[in-house]
Amino acid sequence: MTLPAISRHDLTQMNAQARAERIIERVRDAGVAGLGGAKFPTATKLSRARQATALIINGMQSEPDNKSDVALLQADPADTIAGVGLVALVCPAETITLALPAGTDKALTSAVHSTLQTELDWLNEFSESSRHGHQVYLRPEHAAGEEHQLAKLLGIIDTGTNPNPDTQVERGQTTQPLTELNVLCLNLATCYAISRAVYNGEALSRRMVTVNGDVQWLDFGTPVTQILKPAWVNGRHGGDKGTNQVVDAGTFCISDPAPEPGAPCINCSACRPVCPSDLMPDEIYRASKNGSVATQLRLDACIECGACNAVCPSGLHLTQQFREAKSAVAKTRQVKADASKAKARVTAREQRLKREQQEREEHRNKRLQTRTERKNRSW
Amino acid sequence: MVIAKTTADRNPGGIGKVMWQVNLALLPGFAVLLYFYGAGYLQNLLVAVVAGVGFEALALYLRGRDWRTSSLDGSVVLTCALIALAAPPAISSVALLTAVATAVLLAKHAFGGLGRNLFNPAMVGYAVALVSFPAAFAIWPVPTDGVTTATALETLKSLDNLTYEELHQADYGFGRYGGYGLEQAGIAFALGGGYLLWKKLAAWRISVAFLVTLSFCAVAGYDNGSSTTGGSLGQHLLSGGTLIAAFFVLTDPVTHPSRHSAQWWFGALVAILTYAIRTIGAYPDGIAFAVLLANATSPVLNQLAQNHEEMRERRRLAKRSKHPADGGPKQS
Repeated sequence: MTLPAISRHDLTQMNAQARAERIIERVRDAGVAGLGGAKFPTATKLSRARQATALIINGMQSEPDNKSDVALLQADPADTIAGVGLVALVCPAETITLALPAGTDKALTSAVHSTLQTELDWLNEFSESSRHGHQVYLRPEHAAGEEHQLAKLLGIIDTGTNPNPDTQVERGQTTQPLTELNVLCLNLATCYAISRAVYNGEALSRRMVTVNGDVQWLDFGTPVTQILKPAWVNGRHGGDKGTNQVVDAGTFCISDPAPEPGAPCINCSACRPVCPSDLMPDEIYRASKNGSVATQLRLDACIECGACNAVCPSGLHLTQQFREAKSAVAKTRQVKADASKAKARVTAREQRLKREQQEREEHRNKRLQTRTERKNRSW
Repeated sequence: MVIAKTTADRNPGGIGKVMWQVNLALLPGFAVLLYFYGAGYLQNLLVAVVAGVGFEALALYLRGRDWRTSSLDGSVVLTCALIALAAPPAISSVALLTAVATAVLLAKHAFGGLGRNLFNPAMVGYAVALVSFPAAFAIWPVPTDGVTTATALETLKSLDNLTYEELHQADYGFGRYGGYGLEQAGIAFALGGGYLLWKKLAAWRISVAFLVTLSFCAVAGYDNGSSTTGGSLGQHLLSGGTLIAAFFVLTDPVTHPSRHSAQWWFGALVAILTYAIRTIGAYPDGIAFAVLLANATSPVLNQLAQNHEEMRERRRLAKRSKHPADGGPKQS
């Protein structure tokens, strides 16, 4: 499907409001969705972020096997950065942060820097002011691809803007979307899709997928079992088993299943420095294996990124264990919640019955009384 | 072309690779020992490793595990190499086999195998053999003169009527600080240990805490070499098994606590126990016993550290949570 392309010249002729609406409309028509895994409709996200004060372009790839975002940047830097520019036209944020994994090729980083600067110079020429600065941020030591963690790491959300950072963001339990905090966080590949949709009129119909460490373009709808069999979708470390799945916007990674653990945990603590939530995966693993509920070790904060699996020298399936432990915890909580709900219902019923009984008795007494009175009167 | 490293690239590459790297790091020290003592240490190593791998395979077979590959994952070789290098050269095979059998069968597999042992297997084996064959462990042959001598620490302990200076002149085995050639070997082991710390295969906090505390004890307890001296700083650091233990024994991840604050205490505890056993106790070199005692406290240290961290976290949350609507800090 091809839509009429919108040229750069067309964009310069519109006023800011019309331009943003045109871009959002095109993104909606092209069916662009978040390519970082969540598949959230990008047009909706963009229209909610019209007041955003911070813009993060997320190329962190916290999934241990994933290379898609950086590979895309490598393959087509011009289009990808053009997409960043389009987002900057919609989102009034003062600075743009492009987050890339540490260890990204130096030449690539500097190329991205200069391309991004050219892009921003171009859009500053016709938009209101030269408000966009930018930085390319390389992650310090561990995967922080989850957007709340990334925003926290960048110092964009903190005590100032977030009502309670300790219980929400740091513990990974937040349910508040970043757009409500006036932060727009978009995946790098999504920016590429936006650029293709606007400048080339391309609908989103394929994406770059990491297949066992190599990247390739796959059309949506391709059965993953046609690529690999058996296959795990979105990472061999924490991903789903992709038996009946097809490639869609949320499929960034297809890999062979993780092999069975080669050895028991030797307590080496390699999993701790890589955990983006600062957890102690080995202790949680041991505790949950022993059947104790590891919530005091902040099991809830685990985002199941699979980083611990990826670095474990014994090849333990930590993330899978955490998922089981979490569902066990959720089940216990559900049972408790159900029980208290049932209790409340029973209590309410008892009270109602009691009240009705009382009312009946009162009614009866009243009737008896009136009858007696009537009787007395008639006498 | 590598355009960006993924987290998966940080995997050390399996237990076997980790263990063999540690074994590799023992090589400089082993080479120095070979240089000074000749084939004696080669004999130690061969006997210990061959027997150890045999015992490991047997134990794995009896437990119904995969004995073909697992017995060569390097962990048992490391255990046996540590015993072989800590013992005197060309020690009687009976003593060595006792040590290896105890280490592999009792300390490792009776507790559930790799990753489940409470005590460091090499030190259990060493300690059992040391107690069972005290004479074999007290004699160090000095090959150059054909003289056999007691170890430096042993000499220091037994010859209470001599001053430190007199000891230096009187005894062949007494090098400048440690036993014959053992200072050089210790430094070579420390080099290997540096490699481990660099590769992040050993917990540096433990090594540092151990060496600093031991140095502190040695300096505090030294009275310039009278007949009842506690030994000088150099002697405590360079003699006996101090350096090999600091980098290869204490840093066994299975038997040391994993929380950082607990690791500091663990290292310090081993140092204090070592110093106490060396100066007050009955054995000239007490590292093996000190390590075993500290291993036993390791789970407790870890739990204490966890309690402490949780308490601190709760306090921090209580202080920073300004929103009563949120229900304050979460209690779990």
